[in-house]
Amino acid sequence: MICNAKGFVISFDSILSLFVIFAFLTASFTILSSADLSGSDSAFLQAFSLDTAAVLHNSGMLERAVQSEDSSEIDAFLNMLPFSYCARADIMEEGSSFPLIVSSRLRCSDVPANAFLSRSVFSSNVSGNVSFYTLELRSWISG
Amino acid sequence: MDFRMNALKSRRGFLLTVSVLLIVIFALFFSQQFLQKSEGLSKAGSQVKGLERTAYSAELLSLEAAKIIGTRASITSGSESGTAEVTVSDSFPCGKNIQKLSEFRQIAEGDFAGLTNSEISADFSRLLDGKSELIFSNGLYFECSYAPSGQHAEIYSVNDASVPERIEITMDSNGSMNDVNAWQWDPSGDLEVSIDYTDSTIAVRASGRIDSSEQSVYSFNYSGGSIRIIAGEIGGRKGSVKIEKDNGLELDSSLSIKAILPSEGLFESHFDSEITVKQLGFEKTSRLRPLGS
Repeated sequence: MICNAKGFVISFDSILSLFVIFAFLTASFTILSSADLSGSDSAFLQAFSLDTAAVLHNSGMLERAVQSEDSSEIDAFLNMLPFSYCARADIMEEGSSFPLIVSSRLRCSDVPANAFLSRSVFSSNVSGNVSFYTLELRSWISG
Repeated sequence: MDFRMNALKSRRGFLLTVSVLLIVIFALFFSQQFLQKSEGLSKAGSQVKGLERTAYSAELLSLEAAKIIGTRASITSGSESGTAEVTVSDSFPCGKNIQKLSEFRQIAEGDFAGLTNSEISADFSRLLDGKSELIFSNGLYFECSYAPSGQHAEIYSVNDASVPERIEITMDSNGSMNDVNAWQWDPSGDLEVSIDYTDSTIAVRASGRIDSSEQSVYSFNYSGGSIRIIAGEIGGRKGSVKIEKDNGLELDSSLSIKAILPSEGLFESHFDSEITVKQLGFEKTSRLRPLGS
């Protein structure tokens, strides 16, 4: 008649085991949440931004933009980049802080405070007259 | 019967507890390893970022300096095995904007270094001494002399194993030529030369062989002087080609020299100058390399 197979027994060792499991799980979550994974995002952003600037330099787009005072070629290039990547290129004459040309991809006109900034210098040669300019490329991930 | 069922149940209960404990211990171990790895990656990532940024500055400054110099070069495998084709193109007279390197150096070491919180050192002294040299690692040289007293461009090899076997010279000039003094071809010669010279009135195309240990001169004469292509032994170096012009002759040309030469392996080229960038605790020295032709 002692048929209590469906009974529920709370024993000391079961409480202890639950406590141990709970402690271990808490420790695991605490450790996992303390891992900083933001570095890979910023590394990606920097690598992408530097590559973008290198393409602008190597392709001659920067020189053509200052010679024609037209940013449409740079705009078109920036708009071809991955959707979540935002960038704005400011081109200034050397020694000036006023942008001669401003180019940004669509929907990326507001630059956040934490945007990655890369600077570089380039030259433009028009009929033997060499002038120097500064490129400031600000990059960030939208959304 | 009841006793055996209870024993079985207790065994199951025991097994369940151990497996849960093992899973939880594994989770704890995994999270610890994950944290260690992510910290290691984060540290390595910050180092890579610093190095990447320093290298970026050095390489882009070198690229811009090379644009100012204006000499372009490319190296490809020759159509025959064991040969390479080196093509160098420039304006003639060459080095027109090279003095702008001084201004570029001031900007790089001054404003740009300040903006990027870096320390930049650009050594262009061996380009600003009246001639620029493009050095190929197999012993081939392209020398551009822009001193007003003797403007010339010359390609030569200091290594007997990489003396050109064939040289193709292409020039396009804005002058109006009066006449030409051609050199004598030597069918038994060991240096194959091709000349394609065009100006606003005449196109001269000639090819054949000359002796690489003799000096041959091809002159294109204008009213203000002449442009001369000298091929063969120049300054004790066989298989060289030099293009020079008279001082009084005001003429602008484009120049392309293709040299086909023996080559056993890969080689590269650089100018005799470099840029060093120190940034974020890293230092990167970048040699000036020519733009591709």
